[in-house]
Amino acid sequence: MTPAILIQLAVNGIAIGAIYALPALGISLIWNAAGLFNFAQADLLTLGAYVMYALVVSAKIPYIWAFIITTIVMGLLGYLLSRIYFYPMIENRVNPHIVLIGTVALSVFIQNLLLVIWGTTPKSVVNPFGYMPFRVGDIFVMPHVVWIVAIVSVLLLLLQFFLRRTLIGTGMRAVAQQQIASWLMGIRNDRMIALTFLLSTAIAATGGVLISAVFPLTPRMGSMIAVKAMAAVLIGGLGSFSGALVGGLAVGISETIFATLVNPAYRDVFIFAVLITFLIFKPGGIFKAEISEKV
Amino acid sequence: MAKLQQVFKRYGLLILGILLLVAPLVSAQYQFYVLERGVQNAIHVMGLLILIGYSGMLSLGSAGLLATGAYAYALLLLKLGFSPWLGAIFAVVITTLVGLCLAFPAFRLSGPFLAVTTIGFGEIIRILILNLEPITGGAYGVSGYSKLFANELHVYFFMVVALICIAIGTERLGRSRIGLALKATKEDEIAAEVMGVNVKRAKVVAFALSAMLAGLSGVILANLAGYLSPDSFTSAESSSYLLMVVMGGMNSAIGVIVSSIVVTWLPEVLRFLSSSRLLVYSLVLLVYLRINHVPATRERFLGILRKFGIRRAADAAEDPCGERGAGM
Amino acid sequence: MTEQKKRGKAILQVQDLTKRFGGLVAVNNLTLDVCEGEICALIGPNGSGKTTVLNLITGIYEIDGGSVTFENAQIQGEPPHSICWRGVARTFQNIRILGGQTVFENALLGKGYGNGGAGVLQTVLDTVKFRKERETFTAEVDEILEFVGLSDLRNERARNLPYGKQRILEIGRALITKPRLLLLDEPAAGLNSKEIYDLMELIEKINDRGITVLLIEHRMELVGKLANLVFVLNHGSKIAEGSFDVIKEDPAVIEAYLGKGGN
Repeated sequence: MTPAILIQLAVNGIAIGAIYALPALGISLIWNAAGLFNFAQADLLTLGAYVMYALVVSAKIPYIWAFIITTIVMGLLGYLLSRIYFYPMIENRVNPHIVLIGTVALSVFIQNLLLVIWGTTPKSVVNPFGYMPFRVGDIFVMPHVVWIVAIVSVLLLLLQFFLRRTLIGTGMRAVAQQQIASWLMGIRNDRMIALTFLLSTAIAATGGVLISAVFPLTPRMGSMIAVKAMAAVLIGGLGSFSGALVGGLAVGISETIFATLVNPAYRDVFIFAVLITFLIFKPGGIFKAEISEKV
Repeated sequence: MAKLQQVFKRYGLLILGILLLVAPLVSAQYQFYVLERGVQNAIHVMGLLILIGYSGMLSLGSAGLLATGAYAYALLLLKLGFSPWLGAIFAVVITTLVGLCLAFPAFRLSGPFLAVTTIGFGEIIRILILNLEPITGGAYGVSGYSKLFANELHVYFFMVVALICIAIGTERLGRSRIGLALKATKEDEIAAEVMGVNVKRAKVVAFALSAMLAGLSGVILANLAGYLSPDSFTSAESSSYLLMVVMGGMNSAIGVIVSSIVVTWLPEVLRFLSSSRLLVYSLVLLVYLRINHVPATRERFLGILRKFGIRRAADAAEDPCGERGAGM
Repeated sequence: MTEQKKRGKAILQVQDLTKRFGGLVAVNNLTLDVCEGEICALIGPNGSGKTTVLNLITGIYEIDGGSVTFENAQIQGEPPHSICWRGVARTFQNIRILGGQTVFENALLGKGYGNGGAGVLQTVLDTVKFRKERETFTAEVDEILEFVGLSDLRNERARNLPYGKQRILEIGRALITKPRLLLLDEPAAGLNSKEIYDLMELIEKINDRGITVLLIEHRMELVGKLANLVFVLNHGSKIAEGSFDVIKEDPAVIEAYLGKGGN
């Protein structure tokens, strides 16, 4: 094994890791805003991927338009999910266990909805980035790797800008930190939480569009990605922006290396083992957000 | 009327047990198989009642424990030549020990973190079964092991008697101080500790009991099916167990039995459901949670029920202090 | 009245207790003794570390320095449940009862779990030992409910109780653990004056049962009426100790409450 092979594997892992980071980021955003761990985030990603499939392959809409429509439609879906489902429960202070079960049910619902509509046969969307790898030294890079990394970076920069520099973003961060105080300051919690769902779902859908370029789609894909996204968010640190990104990349790179050098059959076992180790020995993740309970 | 209700409250489990015992006499062969699966599920879900309903530890890996019990039974018999009963006992013990491993993460983790850990645990077991082909038969599964009872009806009677005993035990546990300790762990761990509840020990007990019941259910599943494959133990299956425990009211053994059997039976009655079973289940679960836990929606829903003359059901559900509202 | 006046045997000794949260020193070298049969009060302005002291004594927080001795045994580092079994019970500033459970069940929780008695197997099999235990527990719980005056609400869900009764229930639940030392964290917070009067009577009655009481309180009329000895905390350090009449004249105490130039 030469360093070149390792770098080659890492490059392959970066693209998929960047995609994992997107639902991970969504989980973190929603956790901050609503104190709710959304188990369905990766399934929203899959749903986005299938919407993309429907638009590009079935409806033959040009790729870039389909991308935009998918993101908007999924964003609206996230908004509705919050308005009609999750926010009323949060508002009524329903036991978090119950809301958690709700997100699990949502995840199963989306998976089976996809199954009923599109069946188990894997669906492929064209790879718009081309199939000709180019060479950098000894390393071969697929064009989609560069595109995915670029798109995810731009998305994250925009999001960072939105959260830090705009009034709405500041409002969202305020709700995340002090719900009651910000409500008293005239910030509409329901809108801010719905907006967080909108953003998170749109981000997940973008991940879905990107993944549809690389992998064939199956309804159960969400479970696989959910594992990676949850690993990413918990290894990186739940609630942390950089944590989701670093966690996603770490999971993507390490699983690619493990699958190639050790055994692809045990790739998910490996990720779970790392995740459980982290949960037990470093429950806050790498970028720990300080959480302490007032007794 | 009130007297009848009291009788049912007191002897409900016995009545249910007798109904289940006579059911095979009046049901067709295929319906009988579905009923068997319902009772077998109920045993498993009773464990989830203790774990999720009483103790509030959301476990999504119970399919993994079910698989452990079923495979342990089959493999002990096939590979090590155990007799069926010895194999069954050891399979339950092994599952309990495996389940206990989950109690240790639960000391430090709760809520979503614990749920993720249990998903991982369940998936690891499934992937191991799938890939350790020389031992488990991989995707081909295992078959050809001998069974506890030669007569299928005897398995059923054994199961029903076991279920009723387990249900009575679970109800007793729920009302005892141990049950209270578990419920306190769910609502407020710190207050429970300060009141002298050894929370770690309570969690160990909850995990051990639920794993034991999952193991027993797995052994029975192996006996019912005669064939095991990893496909029966995906994490998606865990969600139908979740539905059974939630719809059962999260606090009552009778509720668990009824909802397990109904949920198992439903796709057979409504044929069109069979391919989209989990779709409907998850939708029902989503709607139920939303209606039951948001007071405004709940009121509106009960209002509609009344309008259509389903008064009694609505009135029963009205009392938020009733058995079902407790602790949720 | 001097504080040396015939104090009994110490039941709780806190020695050089220190707790830091990050850079903030929440409790700083605190030393105090509570003697058998006394009612002591721990007072101080908001954020002076009073509740932290209770959390340290009951084992909820880890101690950074110093020691806690209860009945001549060092208890620091023990988990909260075993400190409870030793005979230290407490209530919380923000009431922590099980809303979905009945008053009786809430009180029964004070019996704890893991400290001997009927185990899971005996409970499930409904053995003679379990039945006997259940009978004694029921009798004990009913006696305490009678004692604190909640008998008529025995089967009511705890969340349906008025606020004042919930506070009383929490005290009752603490009494079920058979404590020899009872720690009350602002028991009068949110109560009206009638309820406060009843509470004072109850605390005296509890004390008459031979239970030592350490209470955190803001309501000075309650502290003045009940406490044999008052400890004043400011910024995590003890700034005064003595009878209420003495400390209320103490310039350091007045400054802590009113700021410099107050009075």
